[in-house]
Amino acid sequence: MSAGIAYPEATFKPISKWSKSMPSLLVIDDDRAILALAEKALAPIADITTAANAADGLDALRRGSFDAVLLDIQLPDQNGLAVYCEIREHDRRIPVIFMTVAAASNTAIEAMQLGAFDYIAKPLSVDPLRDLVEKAIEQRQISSVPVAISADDESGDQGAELFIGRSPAMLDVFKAIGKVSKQDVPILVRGESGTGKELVARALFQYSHRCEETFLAVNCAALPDNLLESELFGHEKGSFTGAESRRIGKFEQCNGGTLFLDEIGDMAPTVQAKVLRVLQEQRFERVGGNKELTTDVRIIAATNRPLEQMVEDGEYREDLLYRLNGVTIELPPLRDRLSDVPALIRFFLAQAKKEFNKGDLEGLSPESVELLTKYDWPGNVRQLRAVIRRCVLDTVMPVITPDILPDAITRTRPHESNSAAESSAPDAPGTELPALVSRLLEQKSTNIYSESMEYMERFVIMQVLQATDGNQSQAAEMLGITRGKLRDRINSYNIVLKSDIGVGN
Amino acid sequence: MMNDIQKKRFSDALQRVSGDEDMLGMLATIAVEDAPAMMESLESQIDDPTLTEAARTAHSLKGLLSAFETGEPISELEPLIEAARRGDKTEAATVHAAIKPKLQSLMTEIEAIAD
Repeated sequence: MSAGIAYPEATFKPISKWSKSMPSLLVIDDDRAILALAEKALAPIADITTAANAADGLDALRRGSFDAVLLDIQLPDQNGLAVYCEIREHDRRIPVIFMTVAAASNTAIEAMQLGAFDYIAKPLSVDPLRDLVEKAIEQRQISSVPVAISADDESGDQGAELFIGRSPAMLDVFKAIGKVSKQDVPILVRGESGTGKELVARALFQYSHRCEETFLAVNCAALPDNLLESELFGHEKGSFTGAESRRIGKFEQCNGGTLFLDEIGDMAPTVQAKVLRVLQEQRFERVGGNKELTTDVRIIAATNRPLEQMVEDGEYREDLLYRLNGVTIELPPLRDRLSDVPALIRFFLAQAKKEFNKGDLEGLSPESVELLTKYDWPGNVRQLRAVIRRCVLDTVMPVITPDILPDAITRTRPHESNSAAESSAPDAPGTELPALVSRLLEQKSTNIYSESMEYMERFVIMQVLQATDGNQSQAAEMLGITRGKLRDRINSYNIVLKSDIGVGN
Repeated sequence: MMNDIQKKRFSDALQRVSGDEDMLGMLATIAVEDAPAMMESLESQIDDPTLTEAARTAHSLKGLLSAFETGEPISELEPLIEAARRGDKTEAATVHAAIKPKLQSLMTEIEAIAD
């Protein structure tokens, strides 16, 4: 610090993409280069603490509070696996990523079987390392940030994620969570995107008997079919091109715990069959393996897809649907519980005020609240939260007035379509993206990514369907998605299949 | 700043650090500081012979230098580690003698890109 100049204490604390204060990562390795690389490469996403041996690492762990650990498999004073066991004993929910020189390290595989989060081969590559650490931190948040259930927005543990609602529909959801969380049955959570299906899954886990065990989440729509199968069930070395070593899947890794399968409707028939077998017998084989493995995993599944219709169309196994459907929790869309909007606004406003350090902000004007309460919220609670956060960021006044609200809310009549993508001209395929983004920016939209991706997705699907003369199987293969997903998108985007592809009005 | 020849020589390493020359330079500095002592220890541990320690040192050396090179001579440290773990001093010494000049040559290249 320069002489004679007093710097005020920093009041800004870095915020992660998860909107919490900066996550913290402990890196234990005796290689100085690894510690330096981790410190430099991961600084944008986490506060890094380093330790050069097991003793220092465990000491730091006990004194601090970490969201993830990056652990060398071979330390000078202790075997990595033994260190891992001590970490588990300290806190079973800290995701531990092993670093190993040999990708096929047996110790790393053994650690995965015991519940380690993942392992990464040395030499470390910065981008995959960053992705993996981000995933681990996200996992930590999913399994550790408490989900409080409240019919009263005033009970605000701001550190918790809160389920708010006093509408009859939400009270039914809370009752259902209370009734079934401690029963070891599969649960299917249904509801539109943005209604909080993952929160329900987390609440079910946190109130269950398995709350001290592992909780892992897999988004079935995010992975191609073959990778999803490997992600869930693992694979043996050489079972397919690129399978350079044995990999432990989530069902094996999560033994004793809870597995959240999001977007369960987006699964290929082969994967459906294997998941069904786990549900029925708790048995499975790794991809390319013939050894039968057993697991004790509670499955919580979620979807916003019409599984019954998919069963009728032959795209989804009826027996799997019935197995998953033992207990169903249906989350209502926000438009069906608009009476909860004021309480949600208060909660999100309090969170955003704190996060963005806007202590002077008093709240929303009555006109703003009225507009927000009349809007039909196609993006549900997620969209409401984004709007409030955006307003808090944008406003320079102590009260948020309607002029700060997105145009879609102030100008669109309730129940009118809000999708910018839907209104784009079908006869100018793919050319309107720049104009769309500009318009959304002008409108201060809080949903730019989603609306742009929607536009792009529809364009890509139409182009591929045109290239295949409307053959959906071929198109799905070329797109690298399941037929079910393609059909879902065709319906969502109202694409009419004729001899030439067109878009219905 | 790395010149074009160095960028080509260490292209894989650069790719691993997302093209960040500063980061690779920082790693090179650490390697230049730590590797010579490790190489010295390895030699004396093979001579002594304290082969368990030799295996551990070779493993650490491999980890440190693989940030720059995963092929030869780093890949040749593996047979050395295996020989040391088996307690085969002759094999460990033979492999070591063969790779020592290559390691020294690699170190010269690494030193040239150190900060």
